[in-house]
Amino acid sequence: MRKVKQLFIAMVVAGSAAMHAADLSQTTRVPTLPLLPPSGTVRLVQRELLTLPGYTVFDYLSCKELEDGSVVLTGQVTDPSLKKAAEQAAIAVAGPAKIVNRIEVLPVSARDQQLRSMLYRQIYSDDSMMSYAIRKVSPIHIIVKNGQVTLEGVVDTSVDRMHVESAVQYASGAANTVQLTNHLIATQDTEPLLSSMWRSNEFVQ
Amino acid sequence: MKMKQLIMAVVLALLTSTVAVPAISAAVVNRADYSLEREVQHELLLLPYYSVFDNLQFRVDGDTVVLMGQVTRPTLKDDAERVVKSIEGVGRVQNDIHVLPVSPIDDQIRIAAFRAIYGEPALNRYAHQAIPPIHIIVENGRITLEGVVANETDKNLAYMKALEVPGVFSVANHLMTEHTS
Repeated sequence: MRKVKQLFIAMVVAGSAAMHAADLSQTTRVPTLPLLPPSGTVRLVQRELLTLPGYTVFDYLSCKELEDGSVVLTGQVTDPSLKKAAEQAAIAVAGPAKIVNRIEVLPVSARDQQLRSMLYRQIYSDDSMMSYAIRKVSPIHIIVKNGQVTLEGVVDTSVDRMHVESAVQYASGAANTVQLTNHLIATQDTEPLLSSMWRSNEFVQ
Repeated sequence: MKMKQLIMAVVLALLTSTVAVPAISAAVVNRADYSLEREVQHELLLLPYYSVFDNLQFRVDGDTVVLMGQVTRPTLKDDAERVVKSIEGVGRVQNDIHVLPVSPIDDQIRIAAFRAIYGEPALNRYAHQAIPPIHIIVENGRITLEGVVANETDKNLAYMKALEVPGVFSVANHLMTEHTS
């Protein structure tokens, strides 16, 4: 069964790679990192978000600074207390007048929770993804909302990006997942890997 | 009647403004208190290639930062020193980080211990954390567990899972619990 799964993933990755190569000249499928670095305030807020207790790979926190200087917190969390904690951490850095909290609390769902665990195992069980599993800061975030999956974070290469997507599609097939959105960023096409979660947080949506 | 409402509105506005000022001041103070320790901690945390098989620690003495711990890659030791030196307010960096010897057998033990500990259903939630907290340091077949877990049960369970890994000579359990850390 494991060999069949690996074969399936390998076929999907190979197929995707071929399609990707063919389409590369026409469209840019892999999102790129922004050229401009985040402001000092955003950097500090992002650091605080990253180290929040209870922040898991099933949550995704990000922030950006608006022209008026206010800092908008975005992302999705499974635990409502994490939303509040993120706001408090951001206020400690930027001040209360500057923070706009647009973090979405994901609905409580046993089915979604089951899917999260299954996707985590599916993505990280493969030997080729071990280098991501052991990192100090987990680079791949799996957001599940009502059976719909969104991948956030960074990977080293576009092949890894497709590999993760294929693993999710394989697992999603069994769980009848409706939709997959892949926001993973491949650092290979922009610059050498700097750091995992840090880079993904720099990505301004 | 309208005059009364106007006075109330003015008083309310004044009250609101006096409440808001201390709140903003508090935030400014917090930002100024953003300590050197926190800055060093963040910089080390965000190092590329820093994994659960490394353990970076530090101590701040005035403007001197002493780096300690163990790393599997020599480049990580250099990177740690470089990023800490670049922090504003750091005058000197004493780099006492120990580079672990290159050993394929130790590498196998690392992977096996990682799977044994983080794959254990009762400890699986630690794998799901954005920053996995259990560090597995392997040197010449000897495992040292570093980091913080929720309770004594988890600490002991991680120790037992590490002991089960084939080829391991000994396990030192330096894990701390949230109450003791």
